[in-house]
Amino acid sequence: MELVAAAFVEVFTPANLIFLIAGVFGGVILGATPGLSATMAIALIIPFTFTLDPVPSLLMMMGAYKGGIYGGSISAILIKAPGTSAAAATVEDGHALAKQGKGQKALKVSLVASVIGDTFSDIVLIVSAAQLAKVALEFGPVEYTAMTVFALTIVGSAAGRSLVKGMVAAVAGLSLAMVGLDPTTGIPRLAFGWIEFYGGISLIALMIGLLTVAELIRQMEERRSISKAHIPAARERDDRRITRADARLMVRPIIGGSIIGTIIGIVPGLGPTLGAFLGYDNAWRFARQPEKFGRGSVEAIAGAESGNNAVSGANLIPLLGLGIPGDIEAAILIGAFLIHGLTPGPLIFQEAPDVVYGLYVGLIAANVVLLAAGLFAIRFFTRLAGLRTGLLFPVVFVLAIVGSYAFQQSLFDVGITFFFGIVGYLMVKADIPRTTFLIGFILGPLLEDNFRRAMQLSGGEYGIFLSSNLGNAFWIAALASVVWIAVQRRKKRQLLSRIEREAGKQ
Amino acid sequence: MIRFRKSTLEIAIAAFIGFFPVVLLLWVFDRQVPESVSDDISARIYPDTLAYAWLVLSVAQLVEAVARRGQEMVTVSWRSLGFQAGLLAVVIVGFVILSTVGYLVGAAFYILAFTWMLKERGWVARGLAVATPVAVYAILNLAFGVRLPSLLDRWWF
Repeated sequence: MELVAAAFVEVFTPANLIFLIAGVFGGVILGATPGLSATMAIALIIPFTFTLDPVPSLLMMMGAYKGGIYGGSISAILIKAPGTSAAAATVEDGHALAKQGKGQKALKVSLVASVIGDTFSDIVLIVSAAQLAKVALEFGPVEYTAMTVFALTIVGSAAGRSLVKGMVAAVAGLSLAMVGLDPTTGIPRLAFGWIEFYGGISLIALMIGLLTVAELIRQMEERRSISKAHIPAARERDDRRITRADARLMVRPIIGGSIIGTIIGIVPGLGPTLGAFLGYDNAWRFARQPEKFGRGSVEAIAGAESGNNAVSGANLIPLLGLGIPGDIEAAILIGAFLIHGLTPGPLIFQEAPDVVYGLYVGLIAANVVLLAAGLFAIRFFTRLAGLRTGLLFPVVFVLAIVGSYAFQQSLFDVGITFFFGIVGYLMVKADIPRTTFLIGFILGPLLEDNFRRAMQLSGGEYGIFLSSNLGNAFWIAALASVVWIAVQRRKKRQLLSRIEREAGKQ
Repeated sequence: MIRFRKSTLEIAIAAFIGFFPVVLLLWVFDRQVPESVSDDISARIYPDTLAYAWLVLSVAQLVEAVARRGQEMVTVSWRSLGFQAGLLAVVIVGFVILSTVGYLVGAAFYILAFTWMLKERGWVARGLAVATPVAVYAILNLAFGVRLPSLLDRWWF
């Protein structure tokens, strides 16, 4: 209780609140700009947190993350160009409402649903992460190895369209994590004589290149002319606000979306896009006005947005409880923890409880700030969707380069960023999931450390990995998840080809 | 902008990534690592396991790409890559000017470079494009004492 009180005091200092608000606004601005995303928002904000203490830097990043996800729905609603893939489920209904002169109503529904979904999953995180960590403290090297492999297989098989490509990306990330000094013997590995590689490849530089620079290159190909669709002005006061009737309609989809999104968030690799579409689907199944779906339904927006946002808090459960990032945003947050000398995982609850509780209070505070900012600055936010990307991209590019330089003040890192920008661009072209690659890179040291400790214990016998019941459960789960996802994909392919054949006959 | 079959790109990438596990296996410990360390079996097994797994997956990826050789086309925009390379050059040259000659000249350089590259008109646009890098550099310079010239004797510059 003392820790919670101390966390409240720390979060609500004027300086920390400013960082939180700056993070939320920065996230909304980047998320609302077509082509930029919540992921980019936190990747770009990391460099600004290098010199901050852990709590304010996490506050700023969580604010940016939540703001970024909400921002994605602004461009989805107003110009039918979702800033994030998770906002795609909101596009049809949100934009349809906007075209009826109810753009502000749609934005407010989206905001309220986002904040409620997010708060629900944050509460689940607060209740469950420490319990999970308690269980994880009992793990030995065998269980950790099996669990890491399980996490990688599920992320590798769920992300992207091809199982093999996902696995290749995961192993490539793991192998890249080996560059640098061998953690046990101190011998340089895969450094090829370059002293800059002795410390390993900089996570920040790799991340900025892979996510931000690669995305900028890809976006520049799409010569998007932002033709601002004509959005009629609201005719009545009710067109600008959430009425009682709207609120009644929103209750059921928000409850469903929040629960579904939270469950999706706990499982590594599934991500907010699935949360949004399942939330939308759930809202449709239990809709009071199903005929309005696709034509401007408040229920649809509430379901999709609560499902989408509920993923974000739950994503942190495996991160804090087990040290496993479930999604790309959680992977970036690991980077933020590492910068401040903290390793997310079960031990963090003992090593830095003040940071964990500060993060908990900050998550809830970020939701409050987002709600207030969204309601009071909605007119300002609506202008963001029309920002000219031609101007914004060079600015983002400069920030990315400066960010990769500033971490270690190394131009070599700038080179790494640029290199992985091109690698990331080619990965997008070839449908190789970047998320899996990045998570493989981050989990590399955890896997290696535990794998080698287990091998040393057994004197080089692989049999040790099958000596623990819990470990065996993880191996079976890893195998089952791969088989299940492969079967589901096969079924989907067969269904699609049958539909195509039938369409061809007609 | 060049266009080619997606499977061609996939085959090229599979062949390329298949090359790395081989390097990994060749690099192994025989060449670089002292004998006392190469006795540590755990130090050999981890990279070896990873390299074999990767090799198998690369071959599977290659087979998959060859088996599914379809007509789906992808485009890779050399223009975008070139543009990014240009931007990188502009940013770095701008930083050097900022830290050696001064903020005003650096700002003027950014105005000219970005205005020309983006074909932007209007002072708001130019101001926006210039304000950020100059401000970020000023912060780095004033807060952290970052100066670039001393780092520019690297071989790749």
